[in-house]
Amino acid sequence: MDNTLVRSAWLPSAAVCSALVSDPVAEWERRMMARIAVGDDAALEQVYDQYSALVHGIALRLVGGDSAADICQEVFTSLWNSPSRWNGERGSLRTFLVVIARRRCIDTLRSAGRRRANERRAYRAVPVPAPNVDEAAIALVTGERVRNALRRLPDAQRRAIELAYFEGLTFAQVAVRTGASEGTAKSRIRLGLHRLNSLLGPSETGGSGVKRNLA
Amino acid sequence: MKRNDDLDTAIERWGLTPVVAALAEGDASTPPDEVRRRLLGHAAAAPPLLSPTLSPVDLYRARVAALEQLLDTLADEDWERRATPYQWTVHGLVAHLLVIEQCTAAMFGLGKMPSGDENDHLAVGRALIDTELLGSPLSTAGRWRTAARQISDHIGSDAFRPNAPATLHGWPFTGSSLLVARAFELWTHVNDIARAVGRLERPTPAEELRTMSSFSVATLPYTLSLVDPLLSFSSARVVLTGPGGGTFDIGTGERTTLIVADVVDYCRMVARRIDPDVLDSTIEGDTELAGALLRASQAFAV
Repeated sequence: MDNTLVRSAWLPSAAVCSALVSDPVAEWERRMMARIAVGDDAALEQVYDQYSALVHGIALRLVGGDSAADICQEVFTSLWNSPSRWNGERGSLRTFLVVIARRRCIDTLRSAGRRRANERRAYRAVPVPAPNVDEAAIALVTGERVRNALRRLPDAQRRAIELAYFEGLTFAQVAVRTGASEGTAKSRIRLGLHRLNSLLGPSETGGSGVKRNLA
Repeated sequence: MKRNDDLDTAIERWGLTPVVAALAEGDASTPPDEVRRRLLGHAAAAPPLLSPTLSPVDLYRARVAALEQLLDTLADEDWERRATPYQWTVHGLVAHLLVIEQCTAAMFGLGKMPSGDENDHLAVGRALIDTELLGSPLSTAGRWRTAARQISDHIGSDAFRPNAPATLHGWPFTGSSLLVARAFELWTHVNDIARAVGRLERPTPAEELRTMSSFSVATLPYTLSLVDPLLSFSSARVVLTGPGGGTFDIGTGERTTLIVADVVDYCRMVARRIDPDVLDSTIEGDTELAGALLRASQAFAV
């Protein structure tokens, strides 16, 4: 059989191959989600192993122990039930899971009216070790880089980001807590995040932890 | 409380979600083991709703309709284009399909088997093909259409026995499985003709792909035993991605290999339009077994 024409018609172009090779994390996420979409629970297991510590860590900081485990399970259950909600062209799976986890945490805090209690808990939360030595090391290094970057922000910007991000406060609540107008609080947060984006660079905001684990 | 009043809504507008994800890295914390158990328990108990399968009758009719639609749009010169991977022109390929419809009809007791070696898919009915090529392509297409409609009428009647043996080219099909195999062939040749005349292939409905791919994967243990009888096989998972795909566990016992491929690419490979060696696939576990399964998937195609 002559496969020459078939091969040239169906293999991806050199440009596409190059793009795939240059972003193995994006390719891994795309392939895992394609498998999850057709019911491959082994792919769900791999995604869970890769990102559950990240999701659980967010929930632990924002809502605390028992609820954190529930939220972690809900996030991955919703990924299994509705995989099409993730659009790989709009962002990485890692970022998507972070956003979903944070939304669920904020909803939990607001619906239960427990924000104040958990704000206090957030300061006390001590992350437990990540699943393996590699991940623990990555979390340690990345966490230190993030803390260093935060320290380099102007005090007002850093404080506004801490209140909005680590405590889940609204812009209006940040304004009250910092004695600024809501517009000023919002502006400080946005400027601070842009500055963080520059300081952290693509290695952090592009998902270096995953790259190292998949190498 | 306004939903647009918080960071998590604003960051999307600002395009800064990756920064927020990076902020979370330092808090990574392993969840309790029971979360993993509960999640995987839920996944096993609640698999996603995938495209349904068609009945073999509906699948065959849908594929006949697809070929009819394509043939109706061909220009005069299109019939003389070569339909790779065969030496035939498009006209010759349709004449070949006329022969195979006649073989199928004979299996259903609707007529005589064409002359020639009936166990050779490409050689059977060669005399009829040669005769057809002396006439008009539209006449050949008309005769193919008549033969296909005769089968369509029969399989919709009470006379059709889906579970009765219907051996074709030596393969021990039943009435239903023969229809799926024939639909697979029609799907393949629609794509061959579209390629030959420079048309874009129309996307195949998900339910048709799912029916064809399910049939193919289900037959793998059988075809593997024919193609590689000495190879030990216990269990494998085949994951076909994309609309019409699915996750298939075949065999029993411990799973030793995993094959992941796009469902359309997989069907093309089954039809021998993609070589297993160049199929864009992910293989984990026993690679020798995976390679043998992929080769076995092509057993019905020539």
